[in-house]
Amino acid sequence: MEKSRFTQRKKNCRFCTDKINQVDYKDTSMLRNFVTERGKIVPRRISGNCASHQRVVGLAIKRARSIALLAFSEDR
Amino acid sequence: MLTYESIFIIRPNLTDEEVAKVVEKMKGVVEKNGGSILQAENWGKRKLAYEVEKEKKGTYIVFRFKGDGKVINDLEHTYRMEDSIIKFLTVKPSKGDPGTLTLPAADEGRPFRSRPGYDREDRGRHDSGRKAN
Repeated sequence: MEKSRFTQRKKNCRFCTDKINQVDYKDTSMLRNFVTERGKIVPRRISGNCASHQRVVGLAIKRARSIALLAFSEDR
Repeated sequence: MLTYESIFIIRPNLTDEEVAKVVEKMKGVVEKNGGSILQAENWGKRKLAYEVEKEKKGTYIVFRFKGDGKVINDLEHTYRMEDSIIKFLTVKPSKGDPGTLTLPAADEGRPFRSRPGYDREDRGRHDSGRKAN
């Protein structure tokens, strides 16, 4: 079985699997899984989140940024 | 009457008594407007993710209260007037929110690792295929 170089395994939404429906902006250790080292939000295509959970995560990240729990952009 | 969650950051140079005084003042504002405090939590001095009004650290205070829009208007007005408060946020918790105000313990999850060249400072958008520079 030879797979094309670009084939990726199907990613499942982590929150759907765990049946978590709300994401707390205070939970920075969890949110850090969904931002890059520079502080950008990881796109759904990479994170594997479903649309509704990606929105929830995005909102939480934006809230955390606004209260200085997460950086808007991180210098390396 | 709805439940809201409010969080604010106090300048780090304040003494514990001064911090307590600010917190009492804010609680007073909520109660004056017919609201009631449900929970309150002091996270102590934390490093800020970025500099705010020349401060790199700040004392975080989180609390939940029941009240209406009037409370929020007055509360946020008081935040703005108070010089020791450098940042604040008031949100309505979503349905099914467990209502914990303590900061969740730091880390176990695997941090996101981006591929080289994925997250470049000179690009607004993702670009993985091409070489950096």
